[in-house]
Amino acid sequence: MDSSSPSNDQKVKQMETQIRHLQNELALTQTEYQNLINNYFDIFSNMEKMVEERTRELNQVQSQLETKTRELQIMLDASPTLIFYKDTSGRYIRANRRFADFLDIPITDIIGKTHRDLFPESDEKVFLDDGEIIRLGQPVFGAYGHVNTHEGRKPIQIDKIPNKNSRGNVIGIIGFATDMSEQEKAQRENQELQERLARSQKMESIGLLAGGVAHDLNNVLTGFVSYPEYLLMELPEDSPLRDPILTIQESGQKAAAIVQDLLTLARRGVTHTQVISLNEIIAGYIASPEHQHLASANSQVRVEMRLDGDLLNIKGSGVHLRKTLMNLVLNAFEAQPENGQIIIRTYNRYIDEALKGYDNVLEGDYVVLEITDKGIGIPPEDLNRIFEPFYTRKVMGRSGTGLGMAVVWGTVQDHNGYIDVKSTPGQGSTFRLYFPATREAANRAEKPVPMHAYMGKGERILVVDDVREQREIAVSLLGRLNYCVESVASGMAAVDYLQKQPIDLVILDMIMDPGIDGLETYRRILAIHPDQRAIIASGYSENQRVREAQKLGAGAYVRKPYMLEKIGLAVRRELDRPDESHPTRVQSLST
Amino acid sequence: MKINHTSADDLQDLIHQVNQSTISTIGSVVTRIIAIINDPDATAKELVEIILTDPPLAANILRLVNSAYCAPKTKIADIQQAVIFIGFEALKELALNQKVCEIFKRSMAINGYSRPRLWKHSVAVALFGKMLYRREFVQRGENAYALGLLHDLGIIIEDQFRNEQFRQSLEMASPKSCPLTDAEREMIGYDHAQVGMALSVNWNLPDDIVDGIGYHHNPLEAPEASSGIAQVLHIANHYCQQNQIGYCDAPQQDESVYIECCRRLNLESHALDLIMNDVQQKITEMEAEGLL
Repeated sequence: MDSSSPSNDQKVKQMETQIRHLQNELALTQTEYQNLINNYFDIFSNMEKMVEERTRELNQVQSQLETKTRELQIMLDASPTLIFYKDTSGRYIRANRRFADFLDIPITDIIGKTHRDLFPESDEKVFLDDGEIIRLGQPVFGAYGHVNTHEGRKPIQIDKIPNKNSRGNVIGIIGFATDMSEQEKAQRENQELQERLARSQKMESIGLLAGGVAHDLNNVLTGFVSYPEYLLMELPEDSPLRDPILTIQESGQKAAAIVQDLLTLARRGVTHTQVISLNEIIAGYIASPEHQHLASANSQVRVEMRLDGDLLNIKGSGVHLRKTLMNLVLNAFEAQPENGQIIIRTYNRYIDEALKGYDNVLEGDYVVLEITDKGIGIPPEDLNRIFEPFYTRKVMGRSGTGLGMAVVWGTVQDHNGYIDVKSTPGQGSTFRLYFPATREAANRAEKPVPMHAYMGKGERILVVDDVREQREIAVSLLGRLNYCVESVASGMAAVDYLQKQPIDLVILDMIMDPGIDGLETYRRILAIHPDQRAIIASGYSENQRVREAQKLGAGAYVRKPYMLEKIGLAVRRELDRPDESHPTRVQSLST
Repeated sequence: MKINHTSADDLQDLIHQVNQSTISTIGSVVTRIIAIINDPDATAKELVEIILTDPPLAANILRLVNSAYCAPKTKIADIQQAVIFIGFEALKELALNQKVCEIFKRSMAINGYSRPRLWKHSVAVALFGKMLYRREFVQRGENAYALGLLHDLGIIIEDQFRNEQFRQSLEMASPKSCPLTDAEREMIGYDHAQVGMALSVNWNLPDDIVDGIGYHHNPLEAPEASSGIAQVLHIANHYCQQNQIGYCDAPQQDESVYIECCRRLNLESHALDLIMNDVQQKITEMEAEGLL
């Protein structure tokens, strides 16, 4: 320290102090800085942890949200209903798969669009309530309208509800639309089916009624037809009674024609196992005097035939088919009084897909009889009724019996066929009759089977028939075939008989009056001998009760009258049938 | 200095009154901040939590941090950011400063005393004490800062709860003949150092702060453990008053105590001058920013 210059000394000391102070501050600051860094590190690592935690939470929430969204979409897509979400400005913000399929565009193309973009030319009514739903916050159910889609105009029904957020504010619309095409179609089909059923029932009941009166009427009419002839022969040429009697005769003949038709209707259900060539029926008819007479009376109408030379045969009743053809041709003549044309066509047709028309035609091989006229046609409202008996647009009584088309209908039904009628008023009508084709040859000459093929071996047979002559014939025929035959006169007697002793075969008459019929008898016999072999015999057509008996296990159905070969073969076949193998379907035998 | 029975009861009564007032809520926050200052393991997070439970304090701190005094480049929006920006240490000081300041708010001037002036004095003493510790003893001096802010807390209490007697004490005190503490004892029965000590005990403040407050006029009588900080406070207090940063115009202390303190701590006057320069500069800066 320099005492000579105190101010200098002072200054030096001061500077030294200052330096010391600075050094001290520096030392402290260094440790503080270290602390600070540690603190910052804590803060940052804390923050990092927080960020990590928050990120994890966010990720979790996001994946939950994604799962929920996916689940929602799966549910939406699984719905058969068209589901969509719209925002308040009417833009689609979500749609399900069904909705996209309905429009035939990807879902992504729906999002952001409005209904104007998606259904430009559609009924606006079903869309217009969007604004109101958003404004009022009230749903609208069952709105009905039509929209144009790639598959054409479709009916839809829409339920729309306001989409609200958690605060209850409307943020859009959720809609559920149902494509009503299928429902409408089903409804239409159901209605058609019912109409067809009603038609069918009407025809059946009229057929029954007609059948009931026809027999009696026929006998009554004999007098009206034969006596005038006799009277006319007896009366002088100039008798004033001739004309009235001629009128009576004509009326009687007309009545007889009606009865013939009624009988045809009544005789429906006869087994039609004849193998028939439709072309031959047509040729036979065209050559007949009836047709010749008809053609010359309508000489201005040309009749053209286009018959398929390779036409398949059908199975059926020639008489009925001929009558059917005649009625249709008659109809065609009457439909075109002047300068008409009738085309009769036949051809084979395989239907591989059910056809829809007057009747529904099922898949299969068919022979088609087609009769076309260029006449006045049939108004659509009448098409459904033309086959009803006595239904006509023509002046009643001018021609025909009023039953012609009913006969046509009944015949086709009995042949398991179908009718298709196409008609345009003013241009003509086409009747197409579809008959199931058969591969069997027509009028097959059946080779007689040698008798030894159906000789008996002494088996015991019980004949059950209420008619004595029938029993006697059966017993004698079967006796000749080396069977040991017994007979009883009723079902009850047969049951009693079988309770006492077994028998190899029972021949059952189906209709026995009074007493239990063949089916009931068979049922009771089966209760005693569950495996009893049996054959059913009947003069009537194969009906429901016969088929029931066959279902129970009865063998062949033999149509009376009994004939040696027929019954012999049936008996032999039934007896030779292996045990336990009841035939599920047995061909009925007939000549 | 002993207090007689009646006055001791009155002091207890006064402390009770204080604890019923808004000052007690301030006191609890101050206590917690000081606890953090004294805990080497305390983290900034704990301080931030204390500040966040006191929204007016948090708002005040954000206002200051965003003021030109700190001048951040982008606005600091939360206390967490404030920690990062000004540092944990600075935030402790700032929080304490602001909380204690709430006690000094109301303005009243009498005989050279006013609360704002007393606050400025307290801040100056706090800065002086802290700098002294750092520069002369190479210690952090955290409690010296807290002590500086709180040492005259008793005056505020007297002013608020024993207002009439305190006025009379101020009038009675004179630079030459009568120090303020004597006048207080005469008029109230105890002095502001005793009030501050009683309150700091009640608030569970650390012992050196309690003793620092209680013995700031007679540091040579302080217990051994607290004698250093009491002497530093005495020097800081004395020196600030000498330099016109005081709460009243009366330097009432015995000059000999001050000289003895400097001697014991081996402090030279030019070193104190250097520190005083910096304190004054800082006070000037703060005043310019309107922080006092």
